Amino acid sequence: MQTPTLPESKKIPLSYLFGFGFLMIMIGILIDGPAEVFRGWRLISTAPGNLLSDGMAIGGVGAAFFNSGLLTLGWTAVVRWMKLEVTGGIFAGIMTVAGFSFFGKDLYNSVPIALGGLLYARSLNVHPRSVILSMLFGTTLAPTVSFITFGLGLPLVWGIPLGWLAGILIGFLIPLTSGHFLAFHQGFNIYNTGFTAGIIGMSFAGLLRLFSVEIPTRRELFNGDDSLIRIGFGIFFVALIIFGYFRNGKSFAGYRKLLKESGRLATDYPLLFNNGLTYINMGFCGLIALGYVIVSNAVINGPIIGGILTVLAFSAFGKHPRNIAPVLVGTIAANFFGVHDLSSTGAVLSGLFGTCLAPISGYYGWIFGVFAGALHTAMVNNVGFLHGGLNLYNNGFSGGFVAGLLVPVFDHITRRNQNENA
Amino acid sequence: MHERIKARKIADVLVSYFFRNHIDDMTVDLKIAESGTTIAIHGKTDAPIADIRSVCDRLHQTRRVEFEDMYDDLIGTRSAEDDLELLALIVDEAEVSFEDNVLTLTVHRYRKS
Repeated sequence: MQTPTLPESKKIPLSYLFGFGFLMIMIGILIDGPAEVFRGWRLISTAPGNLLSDGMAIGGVGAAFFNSGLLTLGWTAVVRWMKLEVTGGIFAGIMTVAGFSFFGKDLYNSVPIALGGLLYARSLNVHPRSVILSMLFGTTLAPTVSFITFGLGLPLVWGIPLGWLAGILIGFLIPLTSGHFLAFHQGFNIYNTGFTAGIIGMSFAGLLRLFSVEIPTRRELFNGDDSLIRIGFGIFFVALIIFGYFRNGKSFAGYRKLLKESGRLATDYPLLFNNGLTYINMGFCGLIALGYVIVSNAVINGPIIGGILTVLAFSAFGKHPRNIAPVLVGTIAANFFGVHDLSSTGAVLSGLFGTCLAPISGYYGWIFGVFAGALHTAMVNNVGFLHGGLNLYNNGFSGGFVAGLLVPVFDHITRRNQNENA
Repeated sequence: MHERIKARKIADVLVSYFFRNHIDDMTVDLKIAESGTTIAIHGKTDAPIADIRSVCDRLHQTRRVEFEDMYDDLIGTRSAEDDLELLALIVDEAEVSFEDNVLTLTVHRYRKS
């Protein structure tokens, strides 16, 4: 029996995602021209890609937009091939890929991970649809493929098959293990695959280091004029609010109820509410993320674009202004009182991606969210070494530990979740 | 094997839901067939659970194939209320009946083509 078709209001049209992909490609070509974009795209696709490798610095701004658009189109085509309807989860997956294509993901290093996911589905005799989210989010470990191929100094005749073999293995392991790690943080870290992939990446990095392979930390960051990007994002987010307002019957009705959701996995806003309210939420969350970057006085480079797009992505799948704001306040406070420069890319990313802990403020209250954000800021700077930057969702990795530690403590303090299942 | 794990999880949520509503005398019928899985829970009670209609509505046509292997391991980690939200993502339909002081909640999970 086929899954019943969802009403139009409960899904995000595939054409919007195709449109977004084409828009990114067009922006890229308009910025740098086709020849320069193609040259830059080749550089991005052959870079090791581990954190923090900014596609805008490696191949140019145009090539980075092109790369993001290409992957958005590719994954949207996969979703279409699988005949899936797009609700919050898949939207979050595709937009996260779009964001991380600015710093680490590309076509070459994503394909083997997708193949591994398909292999896993085949081994279980289930339809690939059931592993699509693992395939999408699993590309967090895509730099492992590129690092083995291009970063070890191996001849390509060895580097390509070894890199792809690692990618296929990763793609198989992510869906196999991610459920196991969910129980650790009980769904309070929205980037669960980041946590799972952190453990897998840590194993790969450990194996490489066992054979004296060094994984150098990268710091290739765009530092040019970002004014057009700021304006573009601002217009886009305001347009989303206006569009959502009209889609929601020219009103904000229901948004107050959405703001009361904890955001714990798997809170799918189009499914629970409608797409109009989801667009409104995306717009507001996007403006908060952009405002945070502007107040921090940071340059919008590839990773920060990735951070903003990921906030947008998960605004369809758990995040809303009420649960992300306390986490952001916590990260700002920790960076302010700590040793990190508030405008540094690392500090800004800890805030943007730290909102993976939004369900903590949504479930326990804002003060707990502030505390979680502060602890996350301390933690995230200590865990990157473990996987050598091979896991792009380093904040999701850190967020898993933070949530795993805080959830039982907060349950104890607030007397929640005690004997409820008995 | 895969379907048996799903069936076990669904049955667990339904039993927890009845326990939470003070129904301690119950039986579970579970059948895995070619067309899909059906699980019915029957509990003896003087009156139906107050919110069972809304729970039933919540379990109707909200299954998302892309979520069921990704997030069903969350079932059992939090409250029965949270589990019902997750259950909605892995079942296709639900029906409820109340006859002769026996409350029956039946859920269907169809085999996908």
